[in-house]
Amino acid sequence: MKEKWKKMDKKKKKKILLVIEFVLIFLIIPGTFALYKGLVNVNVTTVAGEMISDIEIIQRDSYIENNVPYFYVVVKNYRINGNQTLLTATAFDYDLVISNKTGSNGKFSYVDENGVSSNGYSSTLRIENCHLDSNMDSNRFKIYVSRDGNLETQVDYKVQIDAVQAVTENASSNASNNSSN
Amino acid sequence: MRKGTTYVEIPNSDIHEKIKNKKNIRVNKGNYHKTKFFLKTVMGFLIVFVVIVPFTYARYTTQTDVVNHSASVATWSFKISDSTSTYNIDLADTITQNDYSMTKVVPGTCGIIQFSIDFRNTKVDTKYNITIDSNNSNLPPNLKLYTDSNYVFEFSSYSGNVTLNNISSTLVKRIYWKWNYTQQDESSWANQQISLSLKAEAEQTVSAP
Repeated sequence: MKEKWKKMDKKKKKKILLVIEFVLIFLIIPGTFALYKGLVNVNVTTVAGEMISDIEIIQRDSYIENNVPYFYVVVKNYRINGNQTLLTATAFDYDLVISNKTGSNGKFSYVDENGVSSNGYSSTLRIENCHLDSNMDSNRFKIYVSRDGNLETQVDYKVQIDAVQAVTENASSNASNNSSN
Repeated sequence: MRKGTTYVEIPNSDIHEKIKNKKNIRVNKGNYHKTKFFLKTVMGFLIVFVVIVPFTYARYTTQTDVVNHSASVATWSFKISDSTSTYNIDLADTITQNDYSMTKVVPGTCGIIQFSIDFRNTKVDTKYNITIDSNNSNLPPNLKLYTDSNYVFEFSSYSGNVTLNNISSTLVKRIYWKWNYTQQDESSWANQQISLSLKAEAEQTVSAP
């Protein structure tokens, strides 16, 4: 080894020494001269809010008025889960659609809690432009069911809700209060 | 007058001596080059250790009291809002004025994530870098982060240097977020975990002498 080193060309020797110097500078020395470092993880988390627009149908055999059967559709912005009541995270606008299931020939009309009603009966009843805010609340609609003819028939219906997130009155009032302050 | 060459007789032993000396000279010259090469190398190492290394790695400020044989090392402290390892924020707590919800994060809401970077107990120049750890973040595509309250400049990172002149104060940084209300149905995000992970790194810097 020694003899090899002795016999080696000077330029080659210089190169080898240079490589050793670089190794010292970039690999070994930085380990010796550690510097201060710090790392803090900032975790921003939450669970996204849910828009609750549940419908409940209340139907009883005794629900007959002037020989016309009826049932209630209740639209709620909350959900009771055991002892826990979940409230919608946001207000919503909605349309209700009451229609027949396949093979059924019922006709529907409605009256809401404020006395607003539909004009006559239709096989597809659409109640539009309703709103529920983010405070715990519900809207109740009384749906009358009729049919053509006098024979007793079974009416199978379906209730559909199309709800879209809407501006929350509370939020906007908070916002306007804050901006005025 | 007779012209001719004069010969001086040199004894054989003298000639041998001269040749010997010449050899010695050659031998000594070789040693001289070796020594020179060795010295150059040593000088090279010395330059590296004495001149370059202190400039590059003079990162501690140490005061040594010769009498008491004690040394005080510059202190280091890097905190994000009083936390040294993990700082947790509930995004719902950062909601600001909006038309949709003041309590839950839903489309249309917005807010400000605010935290302070505290170097007050640090006695060395420091650089910091705050970036999004995208591997540990899960944000709705329409929830964007900004550096300004007008929601114009999207946030990617905050970085800067803190020198000893202004190290006594804390830096307050804000990330503005907004979940844009669009016509897109984002019901799939309801009740889902939203998370934004930020990495705040600080490192001691070396100022030029």
